[in-house]
Amino acid sequence: MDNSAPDSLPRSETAVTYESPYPLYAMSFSSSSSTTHRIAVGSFLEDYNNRIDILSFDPDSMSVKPLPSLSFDHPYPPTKLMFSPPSLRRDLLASSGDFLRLWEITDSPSSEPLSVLNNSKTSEFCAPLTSFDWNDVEPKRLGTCSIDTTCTIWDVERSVVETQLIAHDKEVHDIAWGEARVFASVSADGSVRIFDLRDKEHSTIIYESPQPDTPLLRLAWNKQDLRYMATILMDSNKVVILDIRSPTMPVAELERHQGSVNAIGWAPQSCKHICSGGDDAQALIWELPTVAGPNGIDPMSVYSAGSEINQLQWSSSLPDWIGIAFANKMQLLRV
Amino acid sequence: MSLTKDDGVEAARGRSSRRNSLLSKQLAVAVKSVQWSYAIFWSSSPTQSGVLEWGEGCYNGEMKKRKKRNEAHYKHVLQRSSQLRTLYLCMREGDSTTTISTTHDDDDYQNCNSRSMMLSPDDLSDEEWYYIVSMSYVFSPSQCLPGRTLATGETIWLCNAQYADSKFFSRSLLARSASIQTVVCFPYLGGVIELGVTELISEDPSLLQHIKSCLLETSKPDCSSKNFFAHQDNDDDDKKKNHEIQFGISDLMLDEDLHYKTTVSTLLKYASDNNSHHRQPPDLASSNSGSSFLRWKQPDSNLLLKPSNLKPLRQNVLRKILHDVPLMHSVDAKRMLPNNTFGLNQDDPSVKRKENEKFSVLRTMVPTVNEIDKEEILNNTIKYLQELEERVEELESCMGSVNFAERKRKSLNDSVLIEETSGNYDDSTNIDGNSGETEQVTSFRDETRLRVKLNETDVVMEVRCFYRDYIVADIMETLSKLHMDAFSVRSHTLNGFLTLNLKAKLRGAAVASVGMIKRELRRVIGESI
Repeated sequence: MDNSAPDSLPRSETAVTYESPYPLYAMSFSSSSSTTHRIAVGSFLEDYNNRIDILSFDPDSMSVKPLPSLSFDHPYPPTKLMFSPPSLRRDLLASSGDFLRLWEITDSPSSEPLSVLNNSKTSEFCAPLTSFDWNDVEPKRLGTCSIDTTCTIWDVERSVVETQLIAHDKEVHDIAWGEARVFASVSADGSVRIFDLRDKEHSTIIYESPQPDTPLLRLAWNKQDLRYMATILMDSNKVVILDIRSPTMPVAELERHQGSVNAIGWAPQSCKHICSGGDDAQALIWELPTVAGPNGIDPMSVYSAGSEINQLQWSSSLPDWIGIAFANKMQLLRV
Repeated sequence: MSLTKDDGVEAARGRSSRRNSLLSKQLAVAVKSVQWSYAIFWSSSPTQSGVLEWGEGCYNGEMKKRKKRNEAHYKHVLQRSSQLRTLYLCMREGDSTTTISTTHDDDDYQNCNSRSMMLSPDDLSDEEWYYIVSMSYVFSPSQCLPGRTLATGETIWLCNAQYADSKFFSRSLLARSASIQTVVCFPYLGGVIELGVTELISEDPSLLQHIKSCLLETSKPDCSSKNFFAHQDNDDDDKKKNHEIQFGISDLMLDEDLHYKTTVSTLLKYASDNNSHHRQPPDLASSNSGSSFLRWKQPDSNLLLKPSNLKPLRQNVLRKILHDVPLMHSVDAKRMLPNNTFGLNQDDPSVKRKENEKFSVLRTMVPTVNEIDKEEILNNTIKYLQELEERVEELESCMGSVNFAERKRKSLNDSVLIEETSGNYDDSTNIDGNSGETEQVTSFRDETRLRVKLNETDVVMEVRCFYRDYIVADIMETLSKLHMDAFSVRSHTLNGFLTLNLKAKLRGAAVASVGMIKRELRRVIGESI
């Protein structure tokens, strides 16, 4: 563990840093049902050999250490990592890349990462996945999205496809579950669409990017208040907050980043707070007021990292900590 | 009925509710008779002596739908006031942490739960909003207008209330938004009655008298009322200020701001219908010790974001994750048959086949695969790429010894054609993109030519030369020596002249360059080229 603190980090004594030998992108916190806090980080090397490392984090001693025996290889960079939700009894880690893979991480440090369940449509070629989301309410349901414009809903217990929908006109970039049967997705065609599994024929467009065909890159659904979602556009420093009850008109556009935004995450314990990280190396925490001032909404607090922040995770298992990834480092910031 | 001072308004429910309704009727009558906006009775709290809190109220001001204040009948006024009260209570009930004690009747509570005639905060005018927020206020002894009124026992008439100092009148900001310009407080029954209006009315003792008589009470000996103008800097004000300083006015100010803010945020939290998952909001103020975050400050205007000043917007890693990484996987996709079905479009087969052909043409030509594009774009891309390739080949051939004339296909009708095609040949191996249609060509002298095109994992070759025995076998052997496996071969021999179209797959990591392939092939074919 390396507590490197360049001068630009004023409060680095409260940030916990892990320095990795390679650049990091994907990151996930283990769910609250596990006894120790674990963080999975995926490397971002532009070739076949990539790695997923498991770290253990102790908030009391503010230390993070890698667990080398639990690290394993992954073909090409994992586009997303996610631990299983607490409602699933087992502790699994899912990764997306060319296929969706489920890994079992056991507690004993000497064990190998077990059962690699290789989920792919056996008959046809499976298009590479850009992202996925695990349903909290219905933990056997997992939705993936892919560059072939489809979203696939998996039943991970039986390892079969529950359904597959053509979601958009172009590549789907992100997917997020709202309720047990409702999910939303964003795509390169610039739209946010909500799908209900009970009515697969129809979807609701709740937002389209103002410049037509500006891709939307990431989506986050506020789990505390299901009316609100946040999304980010390509080449934009704005975080767009949407209310699903009023389609097409965003509730707020948070525009205080000095560079484009790369990652967003809603607060797990409060319905009004959201954190965003961008190319300006800043992580901003915003509090959404009910009435916006005339100059737009200012963030509540700011953290300056060493370089562009590529990933941000605010997990419900650790509501006081925000994890960010930039360059080779993963930092845990206390809120 | 005797309204004695000892019967605080917090007495037994039945009595108090009766009295409250009587009081509210009296207030309604009073406020309507003088056509003012609202009347509030601040009652003494039974628990804390000298502390004033909301007792009763009557709202007679503007509503969103009804502009003129004076039209409403007295009963409507009462109804509206109780609606506002109910709304306030419901808003507050949404947040169970507040502990302001009120004299809310059971009726109100029932209404609250049944939500029968529920208003939403959007329906309220600014004045009503002022009225509702006032319900939350609690005044300690000598704090603000009501407190001071009670303490001194004198009437206070405040003009230009919206400009008043917060020390005098803590709701001055609210008053400004509601356009309340005059506020009057006088003591009554151990509490304070406050009236307000949106017009500027100078002090009028007769008005006061009238109001008091409306309340059906023998008025107390009329003490001299002090007329405060907000901007006046006279001794009285100074005295009052000094008086207030004793109470730690700065704390009071903060408290009032805080009170206002917390009240508003509490009420507005209701407005956002947040009834579920109500946890204690975390203290996210970064003045917390141990937080990694700093409080946000407005950056200098120099550094303020202008569109031209933005750093080059890159989102490098994110874009690579979304675009390039999936394509890393799709390199393997070229192993698949050209007629593979991806996507779930189960349209008529001819459309699908045409699409797939175009897709596979693209895939042999273009390094990055974007399968999801419109047909016109695909066609344009194909044509453009063909032109580019021809140009590149011409440039390359300037250095070589190969002739490049206008290439024409021999007509099939002219002579006997010996044509062999491998099983999975598809027309796309024609480098100039002809999709298998014959063209009308004129006969021409035989030209020799050699074209090689190297893709990511494929090599496409075209050989035109004089036929000799086993030339095709030799070419295939050369290819395998160069670590390539041919999977698609088409050849035809005409008049001793061979035309060979080949597609081969690179076997391993060792990639032969175009020049090397050409050199080897030329060696095999002989000096005929």
